[in-house]
Amino acid sequence: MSRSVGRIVVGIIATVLLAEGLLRIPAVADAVPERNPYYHGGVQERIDALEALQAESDIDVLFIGSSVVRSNVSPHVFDDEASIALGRPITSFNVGGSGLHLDSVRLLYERLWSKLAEPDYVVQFVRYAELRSDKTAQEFFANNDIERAWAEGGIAGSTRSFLQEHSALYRRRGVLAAWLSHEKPQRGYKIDDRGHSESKPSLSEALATRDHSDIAGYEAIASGYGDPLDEETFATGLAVLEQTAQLVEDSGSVYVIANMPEYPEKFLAAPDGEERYQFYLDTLEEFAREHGIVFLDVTGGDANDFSAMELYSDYHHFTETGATRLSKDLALAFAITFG
Amino acid sequence: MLIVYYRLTHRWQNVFLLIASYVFYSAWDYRFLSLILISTGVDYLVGLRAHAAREAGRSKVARRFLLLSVCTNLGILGFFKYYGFFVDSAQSLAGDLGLDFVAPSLTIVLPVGISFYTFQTMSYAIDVYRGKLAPTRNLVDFAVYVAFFPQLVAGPIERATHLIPQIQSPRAISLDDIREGLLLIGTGLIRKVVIADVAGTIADTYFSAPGKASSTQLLMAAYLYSMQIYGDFSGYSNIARGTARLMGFDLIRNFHHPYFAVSVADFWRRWHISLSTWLRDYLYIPLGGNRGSARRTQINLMLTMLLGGLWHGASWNFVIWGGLHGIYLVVHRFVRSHRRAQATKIGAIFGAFLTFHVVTLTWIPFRLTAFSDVAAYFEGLGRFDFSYDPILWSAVFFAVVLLLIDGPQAITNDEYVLARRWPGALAPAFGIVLIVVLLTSGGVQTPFIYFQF
Repeated sequence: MSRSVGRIVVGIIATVLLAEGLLRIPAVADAVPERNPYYHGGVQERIDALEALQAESDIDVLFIGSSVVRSNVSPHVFDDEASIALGRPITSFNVGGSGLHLDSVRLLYERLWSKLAEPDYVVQFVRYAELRSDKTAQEFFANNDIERAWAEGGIAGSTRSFLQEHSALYRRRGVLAAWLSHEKPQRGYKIDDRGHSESKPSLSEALATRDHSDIAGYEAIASGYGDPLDEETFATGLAVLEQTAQLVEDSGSVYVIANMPEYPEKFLAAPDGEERYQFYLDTLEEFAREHGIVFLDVTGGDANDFSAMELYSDYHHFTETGATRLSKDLALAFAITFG
Repeated sequence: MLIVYYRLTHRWQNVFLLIASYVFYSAWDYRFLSLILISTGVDYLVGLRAHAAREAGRSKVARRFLLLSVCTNLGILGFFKYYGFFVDSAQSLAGDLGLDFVAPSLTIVLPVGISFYTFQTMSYAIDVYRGKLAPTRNLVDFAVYVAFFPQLVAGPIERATHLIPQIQSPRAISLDDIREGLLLIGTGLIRKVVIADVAGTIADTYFSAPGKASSTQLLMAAYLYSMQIYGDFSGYSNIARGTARLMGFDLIRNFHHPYFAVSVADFWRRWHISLSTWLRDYLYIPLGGNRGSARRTQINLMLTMLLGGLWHGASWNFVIWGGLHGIYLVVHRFVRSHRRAQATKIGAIFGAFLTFHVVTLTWIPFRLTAFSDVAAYFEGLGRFDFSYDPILWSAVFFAVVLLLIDGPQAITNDEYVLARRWPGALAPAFGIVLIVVLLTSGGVQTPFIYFQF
């Protein structure tokens, strides 16, 4: 009987392997396209853009972080300014992603970006609300396959992420369900060839029309950063930054932390707003000094530096005008530091 | 796990099964394992004592022990499943009557599978009391009967007369067991992952906002939910039976192509068979069954179906669902007693069509807990704004898949037709099942519907 059972097992495995082999034939693979396995459609768009760019040029600077990086940093502007200031061509790429906490940024860098690119510099932008968040990547990615597997780790998580990375069949999980449900493909933001996403109308336009969906962004300004603040406030965020710094160092790149300006009313609406902003900057600066990391702050410690409404589409995402200004300022600070 | 199991002797296999079952249940919440232990301990002792009392001719004592079993199991079930329901209903009624009644509010978690294992152990005590079964003296064997992991959380509700002898006897596992077990697991996976999960996701869109959907969408969503609940529950049953089969156990068949039923009475002979026969043997017949007047039989049918509805959940929509089925059974009984027409093929097809639609439309109050949503759903269906919608093709797809599974089995009257006629095709077929399941599962876990009951 054991021989018969063995035959059944071999038959099952052979059938699965046959399907795996068939899906590696380009014509079959095209007929059964993969689903986006990542938490957001924008991740795949960035992978494609990054691979296309690297076919032509090496990456000098990689910008990582949340959606504020996605919308506030324009690599084209940065490259132009930095190339002039440094006197040599600079190529940068933006992999900022929507809705990411610091831990999610770390996880995506560890499992994805560090394997796809070998930049000289990795610049991570941080803003106040991100640094004081204690949310973990596992929580954020809880409902998505690949990121959940990365975050869980262990045998099960590692097996799932291995299959995701190496099995054509596994990468097509759910395609039949999506087809049957008439599911629309998950789309990311429209990005340029360096990963920068197009900007939305400015905050002043949103306020003028009062019917823009980003009006919610303005409403959020009314609630200032007024919660209790002490040394523990940033403990989780700093611990994650330390891990990210180590990862970047291990992959042979220079890690840079940069402060992301926000609409100043978020601070100034709180009674101790200016002290709060300073405390946040001091904490980041001290952390960078302790760990031998370069810290860049284009605001020069002034919360009001980026205060014009035209710079913002909501209280922390920039318009094209805001992104251009930040990218220029950053290029200058970068050239001064590393020139 | 199977490799370890196959290498053990019969006695150790039972110990292994017991440990595996307790670990399996504890993985959900170890605290509620205590309820299974209480139920096991009480019914084990009740079985021994009731039998001894019966043998000694002390029927009153035996009855007291039976009462202890019934009170313990229904007490556990009543507290954990129905406390909130009865308190809310009593408070609502008191409010309507202008009375000031406030009961203590408790947040009670519903233990998984509680409705299944309490009914299973009660049937043991009742059968021993009735003298249909000798009590089990081996505590491990009895504990395995109560907690047997393949069917612990969602049935089938096994009878002691059927399962305990299989636990007590050494099990010889044949190649047919392996083949048929794999076939059951394979069809179970297709039913659950391919049909139930995807059909359910599509149906949810329309059930969540029935007021915004067209008549076509609502009708198709009702069909899809009908297929979802059948796929989900029969899928679980098949996987449970297949898993048990690989270990040498033969669990009761819980579904027998219910959507081919030619009447509602026929439907209940084919749907959740382990529950409907339990209700028949331990509720309907003790109430008098059909032995009294026509009126008495109707009352017995209604009571059985109302309680059967309540078994599914502590909510009025389940009671209404059970009540509607009770009315259908009463009407069917009345019509049958006044009509003596010969059964024809066309009549059977018409009967199956009608029964499927009656059952499907009755799933709507089962699925929707808010009466306003049920009203909106039927209002939407009643608008008759039927037009082409892509959901139609989803419904057709799932119906075809179900027909491909159920059709050959029904035509040949052989559940294992594939394994028996084409044994060589089983391995590739199971491989294809795994591939299709993978292509269908999206990474988000969808729990079995009947786990909540």
